[in-house]
Amino acid sequence: MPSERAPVIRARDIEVVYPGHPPVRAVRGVSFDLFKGEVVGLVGESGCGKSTIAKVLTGLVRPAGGAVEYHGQPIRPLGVRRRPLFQTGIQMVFQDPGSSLNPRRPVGPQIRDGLELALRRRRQAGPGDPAQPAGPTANPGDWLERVGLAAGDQTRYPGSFSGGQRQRVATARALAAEPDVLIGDEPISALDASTQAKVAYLMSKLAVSQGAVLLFISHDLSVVRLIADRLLVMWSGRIVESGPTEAVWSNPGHPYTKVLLGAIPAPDGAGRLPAVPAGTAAFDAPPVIHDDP
Amino acid sequence: MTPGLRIDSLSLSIRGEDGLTPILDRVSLQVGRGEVQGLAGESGSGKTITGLTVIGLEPPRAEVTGRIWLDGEDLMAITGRSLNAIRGRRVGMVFQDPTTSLHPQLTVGAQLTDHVRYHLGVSRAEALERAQTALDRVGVAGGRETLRRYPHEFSGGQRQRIAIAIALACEPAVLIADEPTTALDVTVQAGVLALIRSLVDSLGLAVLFITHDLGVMSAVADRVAIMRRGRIVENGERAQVFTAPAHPYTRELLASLPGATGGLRSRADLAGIDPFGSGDPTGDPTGDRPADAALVRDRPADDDLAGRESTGDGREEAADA
Repeated sequence: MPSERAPVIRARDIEVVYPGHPPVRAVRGVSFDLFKGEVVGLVGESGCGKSTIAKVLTGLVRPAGGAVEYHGQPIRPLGVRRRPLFQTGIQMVFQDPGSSLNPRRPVGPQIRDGLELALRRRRQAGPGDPAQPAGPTANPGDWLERVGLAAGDQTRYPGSFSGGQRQRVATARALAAEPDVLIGDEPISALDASTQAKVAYLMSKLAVSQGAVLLFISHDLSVVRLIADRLLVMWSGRIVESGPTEAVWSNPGHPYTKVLLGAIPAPDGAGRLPAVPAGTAAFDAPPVIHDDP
Repeated sequence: MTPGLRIDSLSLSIRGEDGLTPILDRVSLQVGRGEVQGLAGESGSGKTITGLTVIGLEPPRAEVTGRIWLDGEDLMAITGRSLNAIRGRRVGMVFQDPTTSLHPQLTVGAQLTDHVRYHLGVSRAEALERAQTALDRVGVAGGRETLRRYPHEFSGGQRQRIAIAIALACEPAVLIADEPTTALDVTVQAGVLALIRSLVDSLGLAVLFITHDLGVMSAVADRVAIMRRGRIVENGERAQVFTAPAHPYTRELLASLPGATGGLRSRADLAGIDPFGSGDPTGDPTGDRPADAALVRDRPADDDLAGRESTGDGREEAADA
């Protein structure tokens, strides 16, 4: 079981405060571990702090408190220079591939950027280094085929692909860097409904087969539920419930999780209006933690 | 006359450098009073443009044929400024994102009274009275004070309620709601859906509810039309469309959704989909468009869009979007 191994990511009591009047406490004491080869769903509604967690893990936001470690080393916040090579083992797929991919470069060279990161990391890392990429050397064409596109698509520009295809390209670019942590921040929200489950499944399958952990951040529980081993439910900057996906889904313990699950309309044709939440007062209840099986 | 909204064989093409691009192909729909007709489809299927065409907001260089009837009156015969007497008065519209559909620099009160005074010719005092009623109806509390506040002072859900209040302030017969809950959190969405349903039931409103979200559609619609590439491929009672879909495209669409009948009900069902297939937003899992083939087979008379079909390589939706 994962708990017996060292986590790839270890986050303890993260606090993030955004300046303002008054300052916004976006993350209020969040702790979690991510283990090799698992898919973890981080779910919650807008403003709950889930994207801020992604930014902390990639060094884009400096936490006001707490500690985040990647293979036991603290994650260095991004400054004016590029990220330390070691930390490029953490890769991210963003919500809108239309803006995260460079529209003026063909997709082949963009995937090659990822491949070169992996090569540089392999050269620099000593033998036995836990973050050292292990996979075989590939080329952009291989990666396009792995995500269900054609090797010949390398010369095409992002604009010539559909939304779902662009997100496949973004996934290929991120995975080409051979990360052992892949973070998807709402990676399927901008896609058509029929494509969402497919792209989510593709991301999880590829990440896991590469031995990476996938942190899948989404407000859409119905898809996350299908791919995640574990769920972390966030509300108002805190993790209010965590545990194996089926335990949380079938037996939600925290008032917020219950409301969140009850509000998802099912496409079953029953004509049932989702339950309207009575208020948020009950959501301050202590977090519910389901044990790993 | 038929009360409510009736769209008869609406076709729309856009004139461009290389001739006409067909966008809508003989779309027919009927929305009775007290009824929610859902119009679902993926991006680029033509659902938004159908709603816009009803209120005469089709894109420039569009060639439109067909008929649109509002309470028995032919809207296609009305052009130019005369349409202003329809838009916002007899047909209300709610859009996806209230942060852009509401004017950020005008108070809620101004936005709620402006068109009421224009359309109904009532005094300022009476318009304010009506604005107050409209806000009460959508469950935005705060009384007169609310009318002096600006859109940014409200949460997303409240803003959408205000947008609905504005759309309903002139007591229109028909409401066109284009993805009205898509920008909202699910817990907030639940409240807005309940509101729309209760307004339909209490005011006898005819609602054309446009969304890509079949879960939302299942919750709120009485009838559901499934649109694909400018065409309605299936239209029927909600329960029938969701539990016994007749068209192969509808079946494939549902099969790709978590929680749908024949859809992805558990993790094990994922094994049945091929994540590597390039089949993008067509609901066709193999990528070589059997849904299209079926569409043509089912409807031999529909071959006149062959030019458009033959260019179909999975990227047309992207170009439309």
